[in-house]
Amino acid sequence: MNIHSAIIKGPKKEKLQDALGIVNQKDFGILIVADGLGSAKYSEYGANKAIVAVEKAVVQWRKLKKKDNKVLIQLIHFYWNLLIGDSDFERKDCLTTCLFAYIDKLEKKIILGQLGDGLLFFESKGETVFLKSSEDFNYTKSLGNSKSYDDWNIKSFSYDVNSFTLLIATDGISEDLVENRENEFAETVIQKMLKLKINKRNNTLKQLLEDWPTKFHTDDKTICIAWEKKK
Amino acid sequence: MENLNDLIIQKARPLPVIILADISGSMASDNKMGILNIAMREMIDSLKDENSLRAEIYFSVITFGGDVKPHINFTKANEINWVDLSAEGNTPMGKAFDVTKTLLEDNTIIPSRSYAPTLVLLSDGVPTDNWEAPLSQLLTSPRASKAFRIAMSIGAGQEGKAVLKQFLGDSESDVFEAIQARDIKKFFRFVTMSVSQRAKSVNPNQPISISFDDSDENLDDFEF
Repeated sequence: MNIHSAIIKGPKKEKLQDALGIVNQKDFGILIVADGLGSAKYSEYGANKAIVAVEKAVVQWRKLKKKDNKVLIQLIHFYWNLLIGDSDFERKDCLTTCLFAYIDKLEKKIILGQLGDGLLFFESKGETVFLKSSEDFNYTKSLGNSKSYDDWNIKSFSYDVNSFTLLIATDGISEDLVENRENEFAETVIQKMLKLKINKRNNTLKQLLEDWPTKFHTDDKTICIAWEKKK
Repeated sequence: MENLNDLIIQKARPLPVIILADISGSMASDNKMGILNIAMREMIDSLKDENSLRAEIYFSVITFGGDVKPHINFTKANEINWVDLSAEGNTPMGKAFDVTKTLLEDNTIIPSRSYAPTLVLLSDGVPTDNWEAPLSQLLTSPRASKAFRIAMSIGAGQEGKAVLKQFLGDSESDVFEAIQARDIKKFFRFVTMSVSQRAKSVNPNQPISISFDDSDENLDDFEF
């Protein structure tokens, strides 16, 4: 599985409030992005703990016999609350979005989870799954203020391990993509990546974010793209 | 990465400012309408000349006086040539709330990627139509509930001021009271500063902290 990513601080922002996590094991992979809310004082801390919370939740959840999606989400909230509770900060000051993809390479199954703004795009076997928050004006659901499973967008399905495309991005990117052409964006990025040596790809992605063409863009930007094109 | 640029929106995110202006017949007295025209023109000119903004400011002006009309459709500040308003008719504020709700909810006009709008309501009297249900519908609509709301009473009296206060809802801000003509300019100076500060911010959806008193400097004197 090819996985490449980039994360940058928004122009003129004092601190990076996005966070990114990638786990790529033999049996499974986890891709996570989190976007700390600008209105929360220590949201960069909350975003970083969202990455840890998802990783911990998946590791424990994988040990369960009956792998219920709802339990996975409960575990994410549990670990995030635990990590924030064990810090000097209050939850309301650490609000963050949380988007993840859990890829089970053995079972050939994938789970996409989204709480709050941002984009998840997955394409395999000719089918497309597209999760994008419908919240307007950047008001978003988040870890720290969500109390319901219904606040999450969750999709789980089987996929072709030899042929798929996955894109996860925070809203610093997704809000500026031309609507209904996000799949073309993902494919074009992959085609650009394929022309490069592997060790050049992350830098090229980072350069794309640094040269972002939207006028007056302000947000942090995080992108994570994974694919397999064996057929 | 030339091709990618075709898939990324180049335009800045809009920062909408929607003004609901009372232009009923009573606004003609004491030169209120004259000052309002000057204040609105100055606000738009000031924001169109501002070159350190990080968002593109769009205005929509909805007038209510006799009928409800869009005086300026959703337009970028630097493309507006202000045409003076004139006062006539009664005060159909309820219908203006309906029109505002319809405008706000139309994401073909105000895209989802916009920053939270600023809604400005100004009036010198009491609505002459049914306004309570339309206001309630406006305030509970998903987008208006996220808007920054500012209101000015131009001698609207207790009853009129109570309507404006209801428009502000739970927000901590008070209704600005214009007692003299120069207060109308002061109010619009405040609106200009508020919008300008948000548009300069790295996070324009964050509330800014300025007060009406901050907008008191360098005002020319006007008398009713």
